[in-house]
Amino acid sequence: MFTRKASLYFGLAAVVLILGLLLQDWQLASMVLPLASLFFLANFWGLPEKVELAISHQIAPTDSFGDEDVSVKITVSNKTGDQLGNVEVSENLPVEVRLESGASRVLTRLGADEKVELVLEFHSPIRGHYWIGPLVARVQDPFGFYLVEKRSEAEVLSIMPRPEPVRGAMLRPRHLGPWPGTIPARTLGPGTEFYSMRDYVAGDDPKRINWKTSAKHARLIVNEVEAERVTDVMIVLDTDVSFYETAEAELFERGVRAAASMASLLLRQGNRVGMILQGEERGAVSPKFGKRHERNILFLLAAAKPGRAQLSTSYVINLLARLLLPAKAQIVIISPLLDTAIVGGIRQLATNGYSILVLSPSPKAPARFESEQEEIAYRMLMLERSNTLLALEKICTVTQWPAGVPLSTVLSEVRPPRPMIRV
Amino acid sequence: MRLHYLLLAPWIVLAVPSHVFLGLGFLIVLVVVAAGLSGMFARKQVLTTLASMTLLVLLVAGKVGTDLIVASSPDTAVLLLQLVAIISFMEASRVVLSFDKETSELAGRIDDMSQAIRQRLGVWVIGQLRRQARLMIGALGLSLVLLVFGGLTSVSINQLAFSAVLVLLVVGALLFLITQKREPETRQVSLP
Repeated sequence: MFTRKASLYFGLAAVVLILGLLLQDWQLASMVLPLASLFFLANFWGLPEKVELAISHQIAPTDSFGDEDVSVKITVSNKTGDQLGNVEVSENLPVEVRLESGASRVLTRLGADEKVELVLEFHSPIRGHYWIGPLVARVQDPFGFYLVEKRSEAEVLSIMPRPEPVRGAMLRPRHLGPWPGTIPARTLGPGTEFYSMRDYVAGDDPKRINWKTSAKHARLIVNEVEAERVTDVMIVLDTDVSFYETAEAELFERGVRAAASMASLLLRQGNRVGMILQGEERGAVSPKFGKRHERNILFLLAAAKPGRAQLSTSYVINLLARLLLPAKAQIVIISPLLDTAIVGGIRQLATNGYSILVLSPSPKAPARFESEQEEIAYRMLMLERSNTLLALEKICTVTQWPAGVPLSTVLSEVRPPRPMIRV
Repeated sequence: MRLHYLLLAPWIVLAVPSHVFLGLGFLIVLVVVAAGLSGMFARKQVLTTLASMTLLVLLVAGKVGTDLIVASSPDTAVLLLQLVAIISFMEASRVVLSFDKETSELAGRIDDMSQAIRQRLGVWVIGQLRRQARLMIGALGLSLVLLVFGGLTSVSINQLAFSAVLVLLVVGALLFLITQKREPETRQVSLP
């Protein structure tokens, strides 16, 4: 195809010709001749009539936890029988990417049937989804009058949050699945924890005989253990941290890390796990099993951004819990609890029979305040948060996660709520 | 190559009678040279293109002005040579600036891939300048041949009907040369 540049030159030629004829100046009109000759030569000798290029780019790895270098392998093949003197290969990279080797735009000559392989390498950017591409190869004549362009689709590089190793979390939902897992089922069955004792019957495993009790009662008594099953868990990540702008990023990233770690742990234990992102950008993954599903959840978390929620968190979690979770299942809410309105939603979930664990990353106090008003505002916000925590402790399990403490330590100290006795 | 404005601007502007440019010829030369040179050394393609376009406009305007004040005209071959010189140096400077830009992006990188790209870039710039020069010389030669051929036919340009037909023919020929076996450039449309 001919380019806008060719059109401009054509415009120049037309202007010169018209001026020459208007002024009846043969010299002026003859200035068209070099331009016309240039077009003629560029068209017939500048670029082959048929240009065939094959282009591709491969990103390795396409998803990462951000601790390895990423490489993009670009392949451009000239399938034309002639040499292509002016080839521009351009890979569109996001602004966050800083190249360590190679170049995103390469100007080169391609011999007949030549294949060029270019490798771009860069350090993994921060968590997020990044579009790599589209890869564009442009072949032009020496003056850029004619152009043949080939494009390949952009691909997504996903930098996911790395789950932290967490040993376990004390969850006690009333809804349990039929398969063995790690959640105590308050019933007899295969498990590890002592549950009760009964008389020995023929066929019982002799290893289960409680010899001390049997001697005491002068008959054989066996230990029985509590069944451990799987459950359905929905993790809700509250991304609305906009009340607390000073350390927004740090607080938010801790929440994302906690969500990734919890999802990874619960899926490893065999549970069905879903994820809800609630904030300016919303997203949901319905509860499922398995490694591939863990990738889906981490993929969703990779795109999470902090921002003010347009819809009330209480409304969203109640709606989605009813849609995606069986009754009396487990909900894990990860929220800094900066919005007091969340209490109503959690109370409603508890009333509906869901077991709820609230994990609240505690905001870090700013090193210094800009003004006295800011300090007062901060103290009021923290006071409100304390009130929210107190209100929540009455209806569900709540744990605070101070900055600098490993998540594993926080989760190991989680205890179920003490039942309130109303007189 | 980088200093070509020092040669081109005086050659084109000062060849025109001074009162065509209202006696500002020297000032115009200074402005064009300053814009062109700063574009070349600061690697600003916008400035070099602007300077070259100004030279093109000055060439045509100078010729028109010479006609209007009925002054003596330069030789036609010189006029064509000036036009070809402006276009060739404008295109060559674009190539050189692209080379500079890509080289500066690779500066400080000593890995194998960057070295290979640098080498390819060197081959590209030499090949590109050589092919441009070849095409430009070919275009100049062809237009001079056509000029001589047009002079031999000695057709009068003063007839209006003939002029109109000539315009149509030349515009048609130009369109044919541009679009022969080529399609117009299409812009990328981004879907919402």
